[in-house]
Amino acid sequence: MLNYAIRRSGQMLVTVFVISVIAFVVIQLPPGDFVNSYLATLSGGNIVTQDAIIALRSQFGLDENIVVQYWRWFTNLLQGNMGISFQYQRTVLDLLGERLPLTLAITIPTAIFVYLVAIPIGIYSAVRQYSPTDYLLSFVGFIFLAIPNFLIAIIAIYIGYRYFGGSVGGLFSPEYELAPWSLGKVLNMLQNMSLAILIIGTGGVAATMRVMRGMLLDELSQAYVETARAKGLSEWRLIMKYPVRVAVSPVLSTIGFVLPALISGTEITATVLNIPTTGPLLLNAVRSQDMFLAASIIFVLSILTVIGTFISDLLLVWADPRIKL
Amino acid sequence: MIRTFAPTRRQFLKLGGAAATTIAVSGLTGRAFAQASQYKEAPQLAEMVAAGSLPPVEQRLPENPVVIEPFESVGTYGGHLRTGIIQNRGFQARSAWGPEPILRISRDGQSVEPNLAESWEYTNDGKTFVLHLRRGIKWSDGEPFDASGFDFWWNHVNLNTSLSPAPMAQFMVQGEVPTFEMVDDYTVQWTFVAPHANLPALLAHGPGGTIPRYLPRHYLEQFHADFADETELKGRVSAAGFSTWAELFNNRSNVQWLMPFDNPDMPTLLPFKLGRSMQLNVLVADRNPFYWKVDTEGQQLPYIDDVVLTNYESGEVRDAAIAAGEMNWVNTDTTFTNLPLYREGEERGNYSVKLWLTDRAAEHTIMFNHSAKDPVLRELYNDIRFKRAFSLALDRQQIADTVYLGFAVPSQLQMIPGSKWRNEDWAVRDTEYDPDGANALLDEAGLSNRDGQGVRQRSDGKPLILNMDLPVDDPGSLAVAELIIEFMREVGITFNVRTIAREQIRALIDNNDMEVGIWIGDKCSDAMFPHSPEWHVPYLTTGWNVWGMAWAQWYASKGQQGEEPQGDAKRVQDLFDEMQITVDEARRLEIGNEILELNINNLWNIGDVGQVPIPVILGSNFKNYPEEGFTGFSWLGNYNYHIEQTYFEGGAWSGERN
Amino acid sequence: MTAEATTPVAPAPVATSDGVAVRIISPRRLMWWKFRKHKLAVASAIFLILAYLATIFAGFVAPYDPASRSRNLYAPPQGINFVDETGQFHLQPFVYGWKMTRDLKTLSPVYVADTTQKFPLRLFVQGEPYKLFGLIDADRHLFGVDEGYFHLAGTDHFGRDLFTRLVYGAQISLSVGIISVFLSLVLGLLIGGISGLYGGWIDNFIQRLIEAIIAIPTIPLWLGLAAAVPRDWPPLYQYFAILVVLSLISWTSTARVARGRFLALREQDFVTAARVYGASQTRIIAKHLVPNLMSYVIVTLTLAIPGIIIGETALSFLGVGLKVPTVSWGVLLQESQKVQIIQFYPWLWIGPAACVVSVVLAFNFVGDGARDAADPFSR
Repeated sequence: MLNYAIRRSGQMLVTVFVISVIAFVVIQLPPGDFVNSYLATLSGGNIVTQDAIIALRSQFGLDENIVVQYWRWFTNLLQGNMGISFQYQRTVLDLLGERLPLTLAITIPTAIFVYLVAIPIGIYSAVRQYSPTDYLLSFVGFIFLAIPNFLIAIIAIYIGYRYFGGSVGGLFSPEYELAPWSLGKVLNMLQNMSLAILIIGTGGVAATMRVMRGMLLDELSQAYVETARAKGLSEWRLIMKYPVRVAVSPVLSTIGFVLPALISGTEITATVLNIPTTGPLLLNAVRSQDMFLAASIIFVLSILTVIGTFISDLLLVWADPRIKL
Repeated sequence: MIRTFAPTRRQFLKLGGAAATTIAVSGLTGRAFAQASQYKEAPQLAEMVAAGSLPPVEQRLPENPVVIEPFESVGTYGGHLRTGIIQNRGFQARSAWGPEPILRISRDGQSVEPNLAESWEYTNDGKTFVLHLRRGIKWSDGEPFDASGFDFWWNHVNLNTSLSPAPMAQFMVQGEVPTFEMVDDYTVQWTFVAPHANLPALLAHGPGGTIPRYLPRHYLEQFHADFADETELKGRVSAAGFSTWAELFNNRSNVQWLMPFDNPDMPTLLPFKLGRSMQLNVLVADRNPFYWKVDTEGQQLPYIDDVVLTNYESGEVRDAAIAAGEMNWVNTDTTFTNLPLYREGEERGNYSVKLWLTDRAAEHTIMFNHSAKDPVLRELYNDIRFKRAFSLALDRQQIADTVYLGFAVPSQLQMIPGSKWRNEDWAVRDTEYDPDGANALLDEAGLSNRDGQGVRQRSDGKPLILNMDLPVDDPGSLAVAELIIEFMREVGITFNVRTIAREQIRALIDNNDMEVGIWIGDKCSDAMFPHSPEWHVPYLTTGWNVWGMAWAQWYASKGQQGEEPQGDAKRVQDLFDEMQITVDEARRLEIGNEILELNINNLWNIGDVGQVPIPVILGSNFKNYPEEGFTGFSWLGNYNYHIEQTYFEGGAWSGERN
Repeated sequence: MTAEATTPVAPAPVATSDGVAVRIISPRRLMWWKFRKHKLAVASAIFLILAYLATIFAGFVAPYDPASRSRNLYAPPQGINFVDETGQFHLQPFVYGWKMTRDLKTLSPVYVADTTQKFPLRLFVQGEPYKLFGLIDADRHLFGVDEGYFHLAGTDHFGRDLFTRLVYGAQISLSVGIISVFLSLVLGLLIGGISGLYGGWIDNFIQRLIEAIIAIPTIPLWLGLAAAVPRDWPPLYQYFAILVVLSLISWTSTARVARGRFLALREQDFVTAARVYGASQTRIIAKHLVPNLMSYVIVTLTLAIPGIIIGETALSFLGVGLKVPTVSWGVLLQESQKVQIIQFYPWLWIGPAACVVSVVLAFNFVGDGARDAADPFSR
């Protein structure tokens, strides 16, 4: 196992490096560069002369070839300097430091909520297949899957303010925004957060619960389950002992994707809670070709991805000892 | 049944007649208070004075502070101004609570008035522009404001190639950079190769609002290589994580980039100063204790305690927050089509919705690229019969009824009502719905062949397909474009519409790959047209004037790039050149009229409908603000209404939750 | 094991020693019988067949043209009546016309049933012309009114009939997107299967590839593609091309799951047996391993279908999605993501959402039925 971990670590370094190179190239695929998108943000009446455009390009180093640009970014990165964001005129480290903790503070509880709710529901649905509760859960689950997250968020916000006098977006309601910390303010924050987690998590709960149910059904029809049942094992222990461990495999297989998704896929969080997360930051950086910012976020994502898949592989072996890697 | 509402024009008639002026006006100063003790201040500030952490009010104010005549009544201190913007967008973010430009636009929007500078004059045959600064103004940290800031900005920022890739273009005449001189502590002047006739208007607009951010040299010098100790500066640069001093300087002054709000240490001249940098998308700005304006009773302004600004990632969520009663002052990025939503929440949310007018002569301008790469299309787009046919084929009444709740009138992209360049005939030329006339003109233009489906064929036998690209974040344009598809099908033209990101549109325009464009028809006001006629003259390469971008590139690069325009297009460029150096009002009027006449004759822009109001959200007991007003980029929002003299009756917004 | 049972046995009737002819039923027929017993699955299958028929005969089923606008903007669904305002019963159902006024404060349209206008509903009415299968000129519609108007699901901001747009929207949502879902599923199972079955350096390589695909952002890829796809292709071709590319990168999570299971299954006897008999890898994956994942496959499909229906609108954002006036359920849902619509015109989101939910539920129940039928151990 230790041997395997060391081998994997080596591969992980190579993978991260390769991803950073590919990412750097991919970011520049769309036509135009950052100067183009900078010009797109200007309101009319701001005149930028042709000379200024050329000078801007050289100021950002965009007139140099891509290998030089990459090497400059990469060597700085090794010294812990991620460069600056063109559009924010701030260091990338500063921007990430501001947004990453917030993002994680919202998305990690959401992920935990999804697994804690979805896995038991999935088990229940599979064991009680075709019971009225199973049908009801399927129905509700598919409603949440079939309606876009953003629409669900808006509906929830609308119902919240229209019928319950709630606030729209933000960690705090307006009356607490300027107030000093107090018990009321903490409760207010928790209330706003839990609503957001509920809204953001529903899609994930519905999907995970369907996957869990499907896998467990596959497993329950295996011969060994019959055998164990014939041997008189209690139903509860029978299910938890082996089928559930196997059935959780898809969840474990893709758990590695959760880490990067927490950071890159947080647009709904940003919308519902209206807090600045890393999701919109990445989207913006990539769209406007704010290279160092985009490349650095992707770099962080790739590290999380490889670590995530590594953990996921270890979990797979743990759950099903038949697996040899 | 659909009723068409006649829009109210009263407010615009009120504006008529007043002429823009470039002579010195100093109507705002003057009334001096006999005794300094007559000044009053907000209770919070009085407490600070009592505690000794702030000098007394008469020491904070200039000797002759600017006296603001309140719009309706003298106000009382207190309250939070709550507002919301979307995605930190553009100028709204920057001017949310009123810039204090060097000069300012008058309340009626028609003329330029003194502000930070108390007067200006042209000398030396008009080639030298002299600016006299107001004396005794203090920055929000108590330091004096004087001409040395201008010296810093001009010589060490504007002409410093590490900070400014090129000198500010608005200060150039005939492509030449002027010479700057600091005459004394309160006088600066620039000498140009020819009179810079638009400079006062520019100093009351974008540049005038941007420059003051570079003026607090006592603060900014510590980040500038010309002044700071080399090793100390190096230490500051690396401590902040940057690699060059220019990066640090840009970060600390933070003027032209997306986030203007993240340095609370930066001194300001605005009525409110940043209390903390933006946290969780919320920003708070407190009263500036050194603000230099008082009301007629000697109360130091502003009346309102602080501004709470929330940035929203989604416009829908921002509008929901309005309807939920979380804001009491919103006048940017609201959409008329959301009026039912805003109006429904009025009582619950303790606000009222006013309908103001904008600087849009038409909601949209539809433009054909006159330098299109496809030679057949290029010929067609240059054919006035084709463009007239396009205009006649639009059922503008239907656009007004379906997209704008019946609240709009057919209009070309002329000038807004009330403008001195407004021409009622031109504004409606070729706007009647006449599909037969359109068909006849198209036949005449050589498009009489049709295929089996009834689609007209181009001169090379291919079906006539027009491709339009529009920004994905503008649902208004998409709604109009969807109708255009139908109108065009009725006259045998296939119209393709694609929505893409703004950045992509920029790239398409820059590479001359755009065929048909659609954009908001704003900036058609007297405050903007003389110096920034984005739609009517092909001069701006960073704009969205699809119709003449290649000509604009030629103009801006002095013939190095793009294509040389011919005939009328060349003529409007020449007229614009003349406008920039003509001070004489009568001649300026003539020049403007000729530019607009050439525009309507060539239909470079095709307008849809005009006079669509914009909803403005104001708290129920918010006072000293107009019922009917105007807002838009031409006036940098509406700073001309003096946010500092607004107040909440009783000292707090009635919708404040406790 | 499950997979073995589905292999066909002798198909012909065999005479036993006591002379009674016993018919040996093919597994396929057996599955069909079992499936038929699953009532919900059968009902769902019929529903899906009807839905697909409606998309094929969209012009006939829809009462209007998807682009034709009426003067009734934002009109709510018209209720079908059998009893009129005087309490009299009519055998032929009818709808009342709308009387529209604008709320003077909010300017939003307000509709009241106008009892002086009665439009009787009829089948096979003559209406707006359309082309059946895009070829045959026709003007008969399944249902409608001779005079006046009938908006079963209400109208949108242009006064277009929502029911019509739902029917035409199904043409896109039930075809193009679902093809790409299948493509990505097949890719995922195949690549994941190979990875799990072979292990070793192949597994290693494929897993690193997956990591790279997950970490690299897709937006610049789309923007680059949007610039590369020829503009004069018909919108539907462009869209299809993009979806194919989409499925080329969306197979990763299926592949991870398949690999995780196959790593365990490859150690089992029946796989070894199949290998000893010289079965090809593809055959082992398709015939022996995938059946062990049947439920998971069905779940993936039923999860991916709403995903792609909704997801197509995200592509529009980047300029590579569907273009107006092409309509799909995703486009309809996208258009209704406004607070104003939720508050004043809720039918505009409820309609498309109900369509997506019912189709996905139907796919799910058919899938469940098929799985149970294929599973020899199910009761």
